[in-house]
Amino acid sequence: MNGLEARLVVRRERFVLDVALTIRPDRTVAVLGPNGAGKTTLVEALAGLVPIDWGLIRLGDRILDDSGAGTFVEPAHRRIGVVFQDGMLFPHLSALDNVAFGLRSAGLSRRRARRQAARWLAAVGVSELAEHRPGKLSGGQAQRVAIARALVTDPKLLLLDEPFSALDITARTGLRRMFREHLSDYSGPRLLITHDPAEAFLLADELVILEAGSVVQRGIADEIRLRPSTRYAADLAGVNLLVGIASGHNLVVENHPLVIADDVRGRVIATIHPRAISIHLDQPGGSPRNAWPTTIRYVDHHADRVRIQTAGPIPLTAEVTPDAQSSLNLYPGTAVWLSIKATEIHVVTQDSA
Amino acid sequence: MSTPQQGNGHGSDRRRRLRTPPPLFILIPAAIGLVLFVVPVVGLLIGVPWGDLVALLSTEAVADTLRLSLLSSLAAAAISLVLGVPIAWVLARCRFPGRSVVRGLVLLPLVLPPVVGGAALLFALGRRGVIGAPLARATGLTLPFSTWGVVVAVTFVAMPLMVVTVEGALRNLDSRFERAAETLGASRWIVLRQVTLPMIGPSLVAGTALTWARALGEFGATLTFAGNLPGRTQTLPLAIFVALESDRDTAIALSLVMVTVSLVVLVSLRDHWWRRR
Repeated sequence: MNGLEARLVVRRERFVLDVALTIRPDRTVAVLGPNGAGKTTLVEALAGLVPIDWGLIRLGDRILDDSGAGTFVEPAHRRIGVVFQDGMLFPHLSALDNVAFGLRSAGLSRRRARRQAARWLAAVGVSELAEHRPGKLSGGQAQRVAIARALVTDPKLLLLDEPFSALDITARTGLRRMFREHLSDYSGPRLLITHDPAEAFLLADELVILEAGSVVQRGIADEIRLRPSTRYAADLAGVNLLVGIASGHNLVVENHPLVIADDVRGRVIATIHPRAISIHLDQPGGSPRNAWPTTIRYVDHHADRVRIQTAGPIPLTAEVTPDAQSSLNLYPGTAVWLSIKATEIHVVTQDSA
Repeated sequence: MSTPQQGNGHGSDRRRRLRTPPPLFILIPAAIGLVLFVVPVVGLLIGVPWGDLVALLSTEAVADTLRLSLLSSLAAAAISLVLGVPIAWVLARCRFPGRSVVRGLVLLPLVLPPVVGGAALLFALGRRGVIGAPLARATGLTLPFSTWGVVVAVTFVAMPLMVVTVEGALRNLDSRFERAAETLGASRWIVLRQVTLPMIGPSLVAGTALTWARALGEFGATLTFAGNLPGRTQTLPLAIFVALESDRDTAIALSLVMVTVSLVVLVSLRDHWWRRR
């Protein structure tokens, strides 16, 4: 079996990380989970930065960790590329020397390492920043250098620990595009840690949902959307996913215009949380930017909330409390108005404009 | 988070705070306190025989003293880099029982009267000391009242400054940088040389300068352990002390050298040392 095969237990103060994970070559698995679920610990355990208490990690035909046999391969010899949350570029080295670092450690001469590093900086589109220190780079530029630094050593596994979380929307859009290109060039298995479902749906082939150290669900996006197994998974799954064309602050979904807060262009995936959708019996006052009349198609009761699916023009799922559902008399067939604030529509650019 | 070495607090807050004048109940005691520090320096400057300064400082005896002081203080700084930085690393990065005792022992010379330190060195390394006696038998080397004795005494007193400075820097250093280096295939030696040491560079400079300045000014431990032999163990502070009795002008001229050197070191370190604490 090529790719990554891991079964590991790491005991932490607040949780026990207990995960089984298989990633085939050329596949991207996204690990989604709330804060404190153990996502970063998983990355550190795979990279050998924290010891595992029990388990087996195999990458390609090499055993990296085997608690039974007492095998432990040092991080320096694992050949795992990591892109850290804040980039973690060495502040005292230029962008070029940051990328050359791994090659120098592998024993290449300074000249050859720099030449190869320069090619990678060009590939990620920041050639002109080669001599800049990380302190002079924007968040997006720094993450480009970070991905080049991780890929230049030809790792056998790529770990991406929330690489976009510290970036603003514009930087994120460009960087995601670049990631998609480079991820498709990179033939090894890839693990993407994220807390953004849209990002996971967009970049990953398979999703793993981690809560309190355990995998609560895994599968392709549609499986998780149809059968969420926990509240967090349901929250992720219940997110309304829309595909549309954006131009500036306008987004057209199924011929219906929406107003969005971000200024983006091209094909986008938009997510709207069900709780961000308001249901009214009459046309809402105060002129919310996005409002339209529709009818209720289904009403699903869950323990402490009610999910309401509406018909067109854009079919959406909204969430209300059981009290609101009964006091507003929300049943299939009821005519209602929906309203959504522009700021509640999160967009991710799908392709180049 | 990505810039580990910046000071705390928001820039604009800080600037605003720095521009507001302090209230009188702060200003008055601060000014009185300052007098205590300024007056002696002024007194010294007034007493300096400016006309004879060059002549006073260019005698052979003064040259010997200066050479010895420079040699021993630079040696102390170098030894502190080689031995003190690893101590700081162990104290900052390793957890082991008795760590606070070890730290206490290392920092002891900072608070101990230097005379006591010198006496302790004499008991241990003296001709009849616990270690000194076998050392002398085996190698013929006796440290007390020798130039090497001066180096040992001033290093003993000054090295703790290196340890505290570098330990603080290592604690503040985000270890994720070093872990990132490891994932890139760097051995622990490369990580230390290419990542850890460059990233704490300002503190290494500060620690070295403070250690050197402290070693240059060492008096008590040197006198007790190495004596006061002109040309062999008489350092600048000892020469000043002796000259105060006989040759006041030379004493003042040498004092001026000490004050100037120390002040230059402290003023040039202001950013590295004070703001990081």
